[in-house]
Amino acid sequence: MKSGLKYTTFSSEKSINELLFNISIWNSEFEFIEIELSFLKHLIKTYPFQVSIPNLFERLQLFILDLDNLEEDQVSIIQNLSIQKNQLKNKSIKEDFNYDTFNLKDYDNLTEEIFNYLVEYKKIKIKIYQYINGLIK
Amino acid sequence: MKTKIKKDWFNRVKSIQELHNDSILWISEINFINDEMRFLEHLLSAKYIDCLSSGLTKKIEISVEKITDEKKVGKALLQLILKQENVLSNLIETNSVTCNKNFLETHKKLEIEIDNYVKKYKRIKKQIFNIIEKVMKKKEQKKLL
Repeated sequence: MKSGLKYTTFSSEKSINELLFNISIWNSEFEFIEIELSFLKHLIKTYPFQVSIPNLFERLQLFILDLDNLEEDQVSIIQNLSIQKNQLKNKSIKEDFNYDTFNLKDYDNLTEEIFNYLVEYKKIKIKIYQYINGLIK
Repeated sequence: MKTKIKKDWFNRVKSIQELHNDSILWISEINFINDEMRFLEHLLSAKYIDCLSSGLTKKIEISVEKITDEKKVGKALLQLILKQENVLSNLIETNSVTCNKNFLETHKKLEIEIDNYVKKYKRIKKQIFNIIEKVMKKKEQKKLL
């Protein structure tokens, strides 16, 4: 699947409250991804695909590997979201906080990482669906 | 954790680029959901799922109906997004995007509708995951007997 999506940031136009709100949306998204990854792995490992398909086992193992990597990154992103959330909260309560000079680089890096993760996640899911769709009777 | 889209965009006006970017992301998301729904439908119709012996006939029927409904909603939302994109193009030509309250309100409403659509779809997916997990568990137990 060609997504054709390009990462664009609008963080500098947002208030601290909106940046925190975005973090809560991503947290919710990644909580769901955790459930979905676990389901997909279980499906690939348990579903009785026809064993006569050439390279079936190898292909399925590669998908499991992809999903394992996504799982690792998902855990790391959730941790980084928590760090960003705390940093934003701490900065916002400081008396000398100046939004104009506030450095959004870390936040933007995380935003870009999330964007790329979600694009990659969808690509891998489509690859899995396309492959096992023909094997499900 | 439940998060609701803020109706007022935190009291700021989105730029033309951000409004356009929203549409691009929405179209991509709805198209992806459509592809994924086709896979889930196929999975639910597989012989392996065997509704009768799994005792999940009603639940499977309901899930299939919900997917059919969601497909229709997705299609309608795509039309609305494309329409909104056309309006945006016209407003850019007349340099009147950010002062057009009607356009901005429609965009906000659309954002809420899409948010609700995606949330509902995730609830349906979770139900389907539960059904498939139950079937796989039963089949595994049968194997062990």
